[in-house]
Amino acid sequence: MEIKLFDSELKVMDVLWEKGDTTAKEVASVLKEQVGWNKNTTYTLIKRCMAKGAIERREPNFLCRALISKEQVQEQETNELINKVFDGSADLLFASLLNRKNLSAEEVERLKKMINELQ
Amino acid sequence: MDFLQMGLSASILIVVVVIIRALALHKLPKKTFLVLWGVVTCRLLLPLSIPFSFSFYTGMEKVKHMIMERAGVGLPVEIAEFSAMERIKAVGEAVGEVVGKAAGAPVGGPAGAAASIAPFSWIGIIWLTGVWASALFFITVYIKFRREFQTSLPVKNDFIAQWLQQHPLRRTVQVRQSDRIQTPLTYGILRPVILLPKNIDLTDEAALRVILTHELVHIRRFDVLAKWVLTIAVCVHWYNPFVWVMYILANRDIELSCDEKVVRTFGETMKSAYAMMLVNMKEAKSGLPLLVNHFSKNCIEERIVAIMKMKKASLAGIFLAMALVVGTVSVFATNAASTTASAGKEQKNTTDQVPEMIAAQNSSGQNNSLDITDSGDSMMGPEDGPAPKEGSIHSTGATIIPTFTDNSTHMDVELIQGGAFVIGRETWEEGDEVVFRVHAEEEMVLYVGVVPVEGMEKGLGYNGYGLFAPKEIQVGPEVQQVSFTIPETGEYGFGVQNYDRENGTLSFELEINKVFINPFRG
Repeated sequence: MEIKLFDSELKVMDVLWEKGDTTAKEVASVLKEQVGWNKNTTYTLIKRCMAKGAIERREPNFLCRALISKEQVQEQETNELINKVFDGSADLLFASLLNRKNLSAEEVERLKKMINELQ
Repeated sequence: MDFLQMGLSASILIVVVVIIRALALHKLPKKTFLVLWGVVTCRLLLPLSIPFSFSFYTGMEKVKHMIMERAGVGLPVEIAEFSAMERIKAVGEAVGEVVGKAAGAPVGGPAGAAASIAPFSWIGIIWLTGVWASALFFITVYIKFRREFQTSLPVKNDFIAQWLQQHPLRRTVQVRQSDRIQTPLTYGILRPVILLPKNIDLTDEAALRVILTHELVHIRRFDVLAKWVLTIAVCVHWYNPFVWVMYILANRDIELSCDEKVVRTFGETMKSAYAMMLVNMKEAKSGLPLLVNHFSKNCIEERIVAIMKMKKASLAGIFLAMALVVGTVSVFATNAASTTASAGKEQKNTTDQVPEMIAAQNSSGQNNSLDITDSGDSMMGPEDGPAPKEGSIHSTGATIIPTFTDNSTHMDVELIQGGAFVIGRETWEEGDEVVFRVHAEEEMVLYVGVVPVEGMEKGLGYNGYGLFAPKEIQVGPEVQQVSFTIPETGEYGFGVQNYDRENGTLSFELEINKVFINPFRG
């Protein structure tokens, strides 16, 4: 199932992915520090995530639990990127990544290892 | 100055500014138009009146005067002005009356009718509803957008941080990013926030510099606040299409002026680069992103043309602009200066005191002269009759024909629509009873009441607002009598105003404590 999240909502998810299940109050206070949002803004975003099926509310204390994982979102976004920008070809995306001059030596090593494992 | 006059005067001014803009937009510094729109907004929101002898309206008054003199009608200058408001009220009342009659309620009985000072006006209610509806619309849109903006994320970028440090402001400016907007915008008055779209290239320092400068100019100039003031003006004058035109054009001019400042700051060499950026991006400002974006196609074109046509500020251009502004404002934003010379006291400015203040024409001691005032009122006394006591008759729009019987004065007075007069200037004691006995050939509606002398001297109205506890009466062929009790010892006169939609002639006698009042006592 495709859940489309805006940047602001992803930020809320970030907190949950990092800290696990957290109360809404706690989420709000973390975000207040990180990005300067007031409580109402955060609560509105949490509700929106709930409406989209990304967060589940648990009692007591308005406990928030992420219903999708970070990996799921990453996969979704990547697929969308591949389809939209690279004409559905993951190879092209890969090539483009390789072309970026800022791949460090370690990253190259890691990539090589991944390819080997997949073979 | 009354509300409708403000609106009318502003509308004419708007038309003038639109014409100037159509002819010379790209030849004048854009600040010119900001000043002009500012004047229009002041005219719309502030009930100031500035009498000026070379005002457009003075000219209009003179023309009106000439026409009336030619037609041989002794109409005082101010009647048409003041009766506009009265007419609206009268229409409002008429509607109210019709509704009242339909509902079976008794409306304005013959004797001792309701003394309504501020008539219940349907037009007023409609207007208020319009104001609330417009305000609600704008506020709702703003709240919706504000909520979106609040989910923006802060931007962590060295260049931007550095730039902000280099351009400090008394207020703290934040730069944030949002994935919901396509173009940069600014919102907030006390704590301004520059909002950048997500798809902006944060490594393109040149572009960033331009964008930030543009937004900072808006912030420095309090443009957001200006837009709110414009919005208020539109809400209050929601029914006036000229004001909407002004709203659209003024918003565009704020943008153009900002562009001008940016180009001046960076130099003319970057004009093309700036214009290209605009083609790729559209700008929205807070408060009304809705309306601004909708018209942005024309806006962008206008802006690009303006930028490319921008020239160095020439002294000649500045002078021309200033002259234009001063000229336009002084001719169209002022009010008619008093056009009638008075014999004696200076008259108060007539056209902008409506309806409460009608200049009283002073009738100081004109022996045997039949002209009470220059405003065309006439009083025909019997040739051998005495002249009225000084200051004892003030009138406007009235032709007074007294007849003398014994020690009383019976007067026939022709009152044009809205015309009024005050007679007598006596010291009356608290508790005195003033009786007004009147009849008229055709039915008419009159406001009658006691006028304190301060009112008479200041030229304050002898209409429903200046009269003390006035009564509205409907007079007809049968004689009626209305009485008033003096509240406090002092000098008073008695005032009558024709509140009808037609001219009329009435006949009356006035007595106090059973003694006739005779302003013609020698």
